[in-house]
Amino acid sequence: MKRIDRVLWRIVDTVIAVSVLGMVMLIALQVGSRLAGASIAWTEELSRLLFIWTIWLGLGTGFRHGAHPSLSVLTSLLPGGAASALKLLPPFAAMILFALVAWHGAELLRQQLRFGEQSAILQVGMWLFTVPLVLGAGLSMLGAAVHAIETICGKKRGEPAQAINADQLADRTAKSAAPVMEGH
Amino acid sequence: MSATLLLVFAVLAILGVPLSVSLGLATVGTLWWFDLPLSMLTQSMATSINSFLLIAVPLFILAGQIMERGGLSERIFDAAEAVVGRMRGGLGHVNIASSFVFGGISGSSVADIASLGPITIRSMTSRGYPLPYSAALTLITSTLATLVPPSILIIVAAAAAGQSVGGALAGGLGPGLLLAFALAGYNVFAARRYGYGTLSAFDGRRMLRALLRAAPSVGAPVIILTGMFSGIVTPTEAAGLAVLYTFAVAALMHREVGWRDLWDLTVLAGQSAGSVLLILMVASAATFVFTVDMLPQKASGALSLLGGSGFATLLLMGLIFLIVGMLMDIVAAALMLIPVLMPAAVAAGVHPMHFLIFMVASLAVGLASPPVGTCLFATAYVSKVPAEKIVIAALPFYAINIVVLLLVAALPQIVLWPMAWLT
Repeated sequence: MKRIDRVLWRIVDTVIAVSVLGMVMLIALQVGSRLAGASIAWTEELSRLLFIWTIWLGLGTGFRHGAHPSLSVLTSLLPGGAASALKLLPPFAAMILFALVAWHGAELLRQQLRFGEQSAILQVGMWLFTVPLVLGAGLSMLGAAVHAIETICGKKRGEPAQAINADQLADRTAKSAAPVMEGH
Repeated sequence: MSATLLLVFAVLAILGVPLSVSLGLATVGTLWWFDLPLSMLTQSMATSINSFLLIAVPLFILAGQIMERGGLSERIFDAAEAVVGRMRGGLGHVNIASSFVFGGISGSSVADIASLGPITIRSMTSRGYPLPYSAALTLITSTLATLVPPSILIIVAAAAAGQSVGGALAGGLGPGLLLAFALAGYNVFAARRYGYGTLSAFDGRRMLRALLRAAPSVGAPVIILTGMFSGIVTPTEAAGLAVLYTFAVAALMHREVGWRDLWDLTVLAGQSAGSVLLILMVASAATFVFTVDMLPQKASGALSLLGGSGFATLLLMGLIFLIVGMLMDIVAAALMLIPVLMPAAVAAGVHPMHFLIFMVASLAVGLASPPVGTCLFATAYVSKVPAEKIVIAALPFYAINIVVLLLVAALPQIVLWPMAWLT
């Protein structure tokens, strides 16, 4: 199981890295071509496609590592047992939300495939823009579930979803990697 | 309808459910309860991030991470120290200046503390500044990154509000500069009054060496912002170029970042952007509920009953921003407050951009204040000073922040002039 978990998230990480680097390259090409007087129109649409993949898969890995911001006021006030029980609520809530998102996303995907909707510039199927939504929702459910199991078994890799996770920050600070979890 | 949504959201958030999930479930529950189509949630989520503008978010995050890992922050600090370090209160100014410049690339306050915090606090205490004062100043200066372009929060907020991202980023520069100068003024006063900091002799050769060494690092925000505000590139394109530039400097000149690091940092940037933008996605679905419920109109009506001017309206809203910013993640706060309060502010005669920047500046205070200030706890960690001690030492800085907010509320020109000049 651990091996499957590792391989799966490594694949997800790879898609994210390729998408982000792809966006950078496409944007450079967009600027370069425009300055050279020969604008390439499809770079904008392809960057957008890669961006959508990045965000949906990125938020999935966020659930895997318990990195989505949340308040920890109540859990820090409650005694050990109650706090541990309460820690099960966030992954459960995430699973409910993303089950709904995946369900309606799959519906949208079916419609796009049935009607053969195509993108404006690249003329590729619009389903390519919706697949990451379904995939990301599925990964979020899976990530939240695996993270919950790890938390229960006491093998947590990060504190479950804290807005101010100083330890996580410290850990990353020590490795000199910025924890830009808040984006502001 | 909106009250149900907000109530469910508050309950789930207090129970420790991630803010984005709380808002998503509250929206779903409200849609279901009031017999509205549940598919609205997924549709809103899908369309809200189908935007070229928002690509700037993961890319500026990545640029900030490369900058930090690639030694650019350290060189920026050295250069600032070489230039203003010998003045009275010099290292305090260095702290302010380097945060301002760092914010000019990373757009993230937590990244500022993680990256510059240990260096600035260590240098200040070794030159006779008290540790709590050093930590408190580091804490407050980190909020500059939320105001100075390319602030990630301003990008997200402007995109959500349907305003020009370039214009909003330029608008943040005025309050950012005002806060930086106000902090520098207090720093001189504190250094003189309490005798903080030892003075060092002027060393021209050292200054030249530090400036030359830091030129590519300091040049990064200059190139990015000039490109963006001169109209040569869009904010998203500026973000892409920022990644290329910072990577070129960190990998080729400093040789502190390799391909493996770049790979790891891109994954981290994707994950961070996913967290930030998930909030945007669910907030756009919540906005649908607010719109159906005509909450913005209700808020406008309630505020117009008070009969206040634009300034009075902003003051009242500022109070709400400060309280909400102190209690929850400021991205989530901004995205929930924009659809509700922006129409009311505009109806009261406030320029939309003035409202946006005032809101961001007010929420940024929450980053540095208890009980959930991300930057406060980050500073406590890097400085090893208890959060409550930092809060006490930061009281004058909070007061300065409030005065700056009052000025920004009273004088829209602080926001609108830089916007007009730069865009």
